[in-house]
Amino acid sequence: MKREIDEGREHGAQAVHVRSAELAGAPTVSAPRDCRSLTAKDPSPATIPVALFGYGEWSRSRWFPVLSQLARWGVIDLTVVERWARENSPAELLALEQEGVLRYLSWEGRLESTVSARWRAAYVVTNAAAHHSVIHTLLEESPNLRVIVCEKPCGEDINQALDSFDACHNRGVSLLMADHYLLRPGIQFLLTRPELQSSIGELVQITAAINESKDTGPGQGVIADLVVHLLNLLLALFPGAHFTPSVAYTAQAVNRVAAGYETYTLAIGKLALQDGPAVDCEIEGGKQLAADKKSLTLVGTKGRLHLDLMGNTLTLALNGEERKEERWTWRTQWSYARLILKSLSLT
Amino acid sequence: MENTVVLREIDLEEPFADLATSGALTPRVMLKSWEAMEGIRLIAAKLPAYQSGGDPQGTLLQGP
Repeated sequence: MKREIDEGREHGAQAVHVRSAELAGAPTVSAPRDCRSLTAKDPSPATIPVALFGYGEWSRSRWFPVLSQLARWGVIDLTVVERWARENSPAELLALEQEGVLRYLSWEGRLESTVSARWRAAYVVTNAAAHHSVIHTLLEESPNLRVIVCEKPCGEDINQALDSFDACHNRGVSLLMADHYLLRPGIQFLLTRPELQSSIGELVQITAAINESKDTGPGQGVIADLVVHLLNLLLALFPGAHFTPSVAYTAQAVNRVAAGYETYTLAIGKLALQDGPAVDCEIEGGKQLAADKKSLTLVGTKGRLHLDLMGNTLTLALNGEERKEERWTWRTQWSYARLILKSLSLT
Repeated sequence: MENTVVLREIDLEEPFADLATSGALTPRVMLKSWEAMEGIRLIAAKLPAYQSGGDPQGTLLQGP
């Protein structure tokens, strides 16, 4: 299978080479780049064509600021794709298009082939109901595509996710699932400091919760919206682990906004560590609750690590002879810039 | 066994080992999350709705 991927990369490299040759006579932009000269219609050969699918609240606040800045700098040639007809699209998008920062494309199941054929990276930030169809449309209509970054959970159910994983793999397109909780400073700190985990001894209990008082969010239940974050965090912190629930409850708020979806879930089970024990693990996710609480606690034989995902603090408390307590605090800032730049490096 | 999610097998390449520090997961890891989520749904569907937990007064939550 590695061979297929390599061949795919080789094919992609050839495609880029041909395009570069075609554009050899085109004027290039000298550094420092002048934003006014960087039009979406006349990108530099070194510019990476990318698409942002979805321009909802989350996309607008978290993805678009990074991508539009990269477009202004001439790093990417940005196309924003949404379902609105051009006349109904947000004025700020059309203004940026006029300015030459981006291109707006209205999508109704088919893409404009001359534009989509050039994309090498795509960011799928639609609601989960559209993930599957967007990914398959991209695979059909973007032959030069190398990377798709899709917001978790990549579909409405496990079969849609499997189908998308399979299709991307067969096409040699790298599919990455974005999860913004991974970018929280405390999690990043834990990921790069494995000695903190080992300092608490053998892991005996994990408690993780994302409980929110708000009732907003995507049109899906808290299992696919919140619990998935906690599972992703655990699987990132403990590579190769597997969570098996033994008891699980769901419930709905009386005044639930999203009818038909669970607004609360509690799952109790075991997280089987790779080459290690199965650890007691409790996972809780809820909306429209009395109080906000977002935390992850790891209890070991020698101490505990407590990560407060709202206060952005990490506390290490050791027992016994090494008894001590240490605390780290971070600002609440995080950005998708790290992931976007990583994905561009894969094109 | 009845709470186990049975999936069709697909081949998943895992070319990027350090994705988590970039804020992303590979399909292989995401699939493990999906399996866990489906397991939670399967079990929860057989049990009565939870009435306390995050809502100790039991006023906010009700059964599905």
